[in-house]
Amino acid sequence: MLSNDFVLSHLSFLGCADVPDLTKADTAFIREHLPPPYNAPERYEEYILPRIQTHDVLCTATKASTAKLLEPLIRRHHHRFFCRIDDSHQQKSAASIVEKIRRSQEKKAGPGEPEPIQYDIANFSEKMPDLARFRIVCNFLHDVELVENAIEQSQEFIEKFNINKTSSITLRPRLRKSGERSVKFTLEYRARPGLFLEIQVMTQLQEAWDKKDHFLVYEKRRLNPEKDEENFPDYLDSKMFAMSELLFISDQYFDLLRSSEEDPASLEGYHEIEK
Amino acid sequence: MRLRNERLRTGHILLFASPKDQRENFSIFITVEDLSQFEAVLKITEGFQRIFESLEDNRVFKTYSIADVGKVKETVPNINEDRMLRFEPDELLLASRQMNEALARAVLKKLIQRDSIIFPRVRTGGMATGTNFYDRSEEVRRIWQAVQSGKNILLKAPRRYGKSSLLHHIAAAPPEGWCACYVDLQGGKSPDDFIYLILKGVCQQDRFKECLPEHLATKEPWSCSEMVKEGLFREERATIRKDWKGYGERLFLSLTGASERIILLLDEVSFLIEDMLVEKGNKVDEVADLLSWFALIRSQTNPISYVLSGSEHLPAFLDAYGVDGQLQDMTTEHLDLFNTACAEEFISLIMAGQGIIINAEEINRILSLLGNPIPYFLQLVLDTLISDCKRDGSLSAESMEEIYYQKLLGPEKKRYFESVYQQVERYERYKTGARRGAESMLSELASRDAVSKRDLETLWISETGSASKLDMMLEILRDDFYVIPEPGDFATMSSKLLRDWWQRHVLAIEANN
Repeated sequence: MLSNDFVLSHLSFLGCADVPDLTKADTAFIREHLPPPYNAPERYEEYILPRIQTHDVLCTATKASTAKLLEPLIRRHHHRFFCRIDDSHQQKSAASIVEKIRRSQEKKAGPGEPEPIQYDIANFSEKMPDLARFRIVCNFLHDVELVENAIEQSQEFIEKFNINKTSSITLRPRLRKSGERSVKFTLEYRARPGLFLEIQVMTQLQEAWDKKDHFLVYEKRRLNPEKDEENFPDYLDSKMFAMSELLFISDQYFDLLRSSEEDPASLEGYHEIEK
Repeated sequence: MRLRNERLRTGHILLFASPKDQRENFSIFITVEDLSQFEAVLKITEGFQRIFESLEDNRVFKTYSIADVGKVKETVPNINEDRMLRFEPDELLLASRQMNEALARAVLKKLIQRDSIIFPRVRTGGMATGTNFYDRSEEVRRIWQAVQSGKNILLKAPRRYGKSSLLHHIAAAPPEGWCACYVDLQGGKSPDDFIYLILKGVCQQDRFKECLPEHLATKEPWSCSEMVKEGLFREERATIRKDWKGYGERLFLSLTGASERIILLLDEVSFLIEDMLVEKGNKVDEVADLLSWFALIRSQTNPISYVLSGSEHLPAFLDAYGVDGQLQDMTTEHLDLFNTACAEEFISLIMAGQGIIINAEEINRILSLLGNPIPYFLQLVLDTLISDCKRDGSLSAESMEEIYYQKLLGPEKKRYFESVYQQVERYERYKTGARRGAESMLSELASRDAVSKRDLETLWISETGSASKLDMMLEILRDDFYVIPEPGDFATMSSKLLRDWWQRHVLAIEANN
């Protein structure tokens, strides 16, 4: 058995404390699809990571532009926390990439569904939209909206990127697969078609939920998919889903409180909730 | 050139992580302003990776996107912030927008070698010691190779080329099994001064204690206060005066008994010899006696290696006085100027260390203003530009030129050239009228691109009455004023800065008179 020291130093060497393990299926995939000498769990990262270096640099440059973009908003709301750009959830790990490629090859289209995108070792760096990503974590739901508008209306972003936005914040329950709530921008760098980047915008509560869910549900499901009965005999997944709904209500309520403070005209809505 | 924007917090981290020891990790933080710098940062990242791979180090290369460098530890827990260098993309790109590979390679090499200071500092007029000593690795390697094969070295170079810094560098880090002693002979005026200064040198380190006379070794002079040391040396000096040869012989022979091999680095030999001659009214007997005795000592003390450093003109000078220097056992090593690539790299690193962004065109501008990159003058130019850039935030090409002509050549920096000009005053000792003769030749050289040897001879004769010692004088001017021979029996003043200074401060005054 490995000592804690060994594990910690090893994780620390990799510079990331939540590197997902490879499943047996992923290891088999690596052995079969990666060229030697990278077709082994000890070396596969050396093959995968250089292929997403460009994404990583684009991520940095986009963060810098985003920081400039948000400057006026942060100045306007300087009396309270408005938002922060988060570095901790950026590059997709090599293990996640392998898993995503493998699963895409196993996926079949359901009746009436469009043919799913199939990734492989040759095309993943030009097809996967979330190889590099960063988060903007906002204080209030209203702040999320302001950030969302700033990005959508940025001339620099419009010029440099093809922008695709999806929001799961107000998604109806029947359309929801998980409790995740955020606005996601998929940006394709126009000068290099196939070079994608993802920006996620969410509130602090949504981020808090996501971090807990990642550990409690997401990773278990990822390592052992489609076995929810086995993974969550105590309905942990359902409870986590419900927590997301609760936090959404909290976010809405907090936002009402905020607007009552920042915009007294909105007090009517506040009093209605109070009643 | 302009000051780096230290307020930028977003950027790209290139981490070079050791698989064994986190303290060995180092990183480069490239600040990024916005999306317009994407291609540049990508080029730099790929360039660093390529260069790093060619250096065959066992660290692992990894990159990180950082929104706020103040919180870098949260994203890169294994970063060693003490060994993180900060650059803006412009610092690492050439005018062609290609990667400045020379600079990147120099920085990476220094980081891999674990140099504590990556960027040399400006040391105008001072000795460049420690990590401020720049490059010269080839010269150091050649000297050690020769010394280890049993050769003695005569290190020659014009003034201000960095001979003393080089000797200090060699003394500071001898290889395993070697013990080095640096001795500055400037100020010595007699054979007993020669022995006395060497004795003082070896008494500075306890590594020589087994070789010292017993009465000195027991007093442990290396750990004494300066006052106590003075007293001790005063007594020894009296003994040396009585019989310098006997004392010297005993001292050198005892050094051969050391358990480690010894290298004696004797600096400013030319000054010692010239001052001895002046002291004795140009009588050569004592100089000849010392040099022949020292040659004999060298032949009898094989375990000791000797490096003598002096000006290029030393052999010509001895010839002119009819002294056989008996230096046949010495292998000559010349210390040349930095080549252009090395000078460019040196300027880039100095500026990067000062947080100043300078492009290749600006570096070329500095080098063309300066002419030959004589280390002393190069540092003087950089020192002036750095202080003005720090004050104003940026300098245009025009203001760089203005600083050169108005400040560097103006009264503000006069003191830095005084020691250069004062050399002329020494020349009178060699021959009556030699000072005026040298000044006339220098004025002619400063006002024309090249002067024929015949014209120089005419000027020399008109001031000194004969052609005697002209060759020696030209060799001396080569050392002191960088006057070099040109094809077709011509000579030129190769330092543009010194020529500009001479025109401004000597020729202009002569014209007014």
